Amino acid sequence: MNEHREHVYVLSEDQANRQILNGFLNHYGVRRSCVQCPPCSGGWRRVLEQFQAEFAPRMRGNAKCFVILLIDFDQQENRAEQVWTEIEEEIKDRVFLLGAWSEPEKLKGLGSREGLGIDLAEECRSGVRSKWNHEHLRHNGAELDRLASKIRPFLFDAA
Amino acid sequence: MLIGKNGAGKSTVGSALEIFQRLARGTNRVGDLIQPKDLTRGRLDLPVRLEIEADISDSKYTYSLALEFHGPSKELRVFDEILKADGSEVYSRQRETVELPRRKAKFELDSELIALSLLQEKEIFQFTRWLSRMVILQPLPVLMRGESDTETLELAKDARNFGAWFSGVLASAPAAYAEIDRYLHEVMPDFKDIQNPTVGSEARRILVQFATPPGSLSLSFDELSDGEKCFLLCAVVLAANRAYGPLFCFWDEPDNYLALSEVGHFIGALRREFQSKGQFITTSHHPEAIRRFSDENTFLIFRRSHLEPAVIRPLSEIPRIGDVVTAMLLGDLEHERTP
Repeated sequence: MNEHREHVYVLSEDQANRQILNGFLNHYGVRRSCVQCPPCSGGWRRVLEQFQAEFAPRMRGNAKCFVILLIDFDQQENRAEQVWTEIEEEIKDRVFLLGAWSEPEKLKGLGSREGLGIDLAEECRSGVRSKWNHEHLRHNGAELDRLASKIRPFLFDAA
Repeated sequence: MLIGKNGAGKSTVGSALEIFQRLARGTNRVGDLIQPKDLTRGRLDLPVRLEIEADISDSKYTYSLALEFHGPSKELRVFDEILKADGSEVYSRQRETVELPRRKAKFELDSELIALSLLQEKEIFQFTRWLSRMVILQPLPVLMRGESDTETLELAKDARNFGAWFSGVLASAPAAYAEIDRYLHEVMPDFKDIQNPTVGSEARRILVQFATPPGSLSLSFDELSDGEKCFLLCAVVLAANRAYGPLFCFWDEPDNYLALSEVGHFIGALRREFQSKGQFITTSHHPEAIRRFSDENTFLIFRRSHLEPAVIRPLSEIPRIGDVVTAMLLGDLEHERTP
């Protein structure tokens, strides 16, 4: 991965999230070369710890470095706030927080995990949200808007 | 993705497929494909049966070949053989007697010879062409050669004839060059271009050019690192699937020779290409490669001992807590199988 160009690390909480991410990366339009996915952390707290220990320092030194935290919200209204209060202002605009409102198991009705990942990638690419509007995903709307302006331009090949 | 401990039987899947491939490429004498010593635990009293099903161009092919031990010659011979296309029998065979039902023809064939690559039916041609073009890989970069004096669409398992295959793919579909070029730019930022100029009267040699302004460097294929040779191999596999696919690709441990940071991208490129066309089966012990697959497309192969048969089971049917790589490290996947 070329760190002199825009790139993104995706830190996922668990295997279920990782499998949706696998599908996302299989979308034909995603530029794999600008994405790196470290091993799963095992819980949203650990995602945050991993972020603080390994990725926040990278971001401070490189404005082209972005991070997506892929966690379960466990139906906790304050989960996003818990995360954001621990991320410093200097890099906050390059950090994104996404995940299922409870857990990925609740998304079974949307198809296989990899299939869902491909569909979610297509909706990110096209900007037309359908599965992202599922009751367990629609809380991500504001973050998707930020992603569309900051990450979509380099994450997807031009159509 | 096939996972499992050493000796479970992952690579053997590739070896079994290779028998069909060699048969389709023209090796039709039983003794050149399978020896009595290949039979499980030397059980000469039972026939060995090889079967394959394939969906090719909207037709479903099923082929079955059974071999039996012939005492006097101490060799294996054909016991029975049948090919069906969409459920309809193309030909069948009992020992020496071959029958072509649609032609209402029957004839005798030496039971040391397999009929598949000898008959001329249209369906057989399509089926054997697909088998012969299967890409079964366990590459050995040190043996891979960038020089060629022929063209082929039949790549060797160790990829030693890479140069001839590269020439064959480009001769078959010149547009494949664009795909090869695109992939190599992606994985090697300083890659400039790849050429296959003639050397002498009939031979060709692959040259790869790198450029970082203001300088440039041209290397022959043989001068590339093992990992870089695998990048080129991957690029041509991707291009071949588009050029004359859909292909079936079995790649045994594709993560070999690759830098840790490259493994995920490498597997990702293969997965993406084959999800819309063709089929990709792989094996690995590498965490990054395994994590690029999911429960829905990962299979565990295991056996309790060398005396027992290998069993394959979808990972989605094996209860576990947490990461599959951790479960493998702790031996939990296999333990779950033990009552």
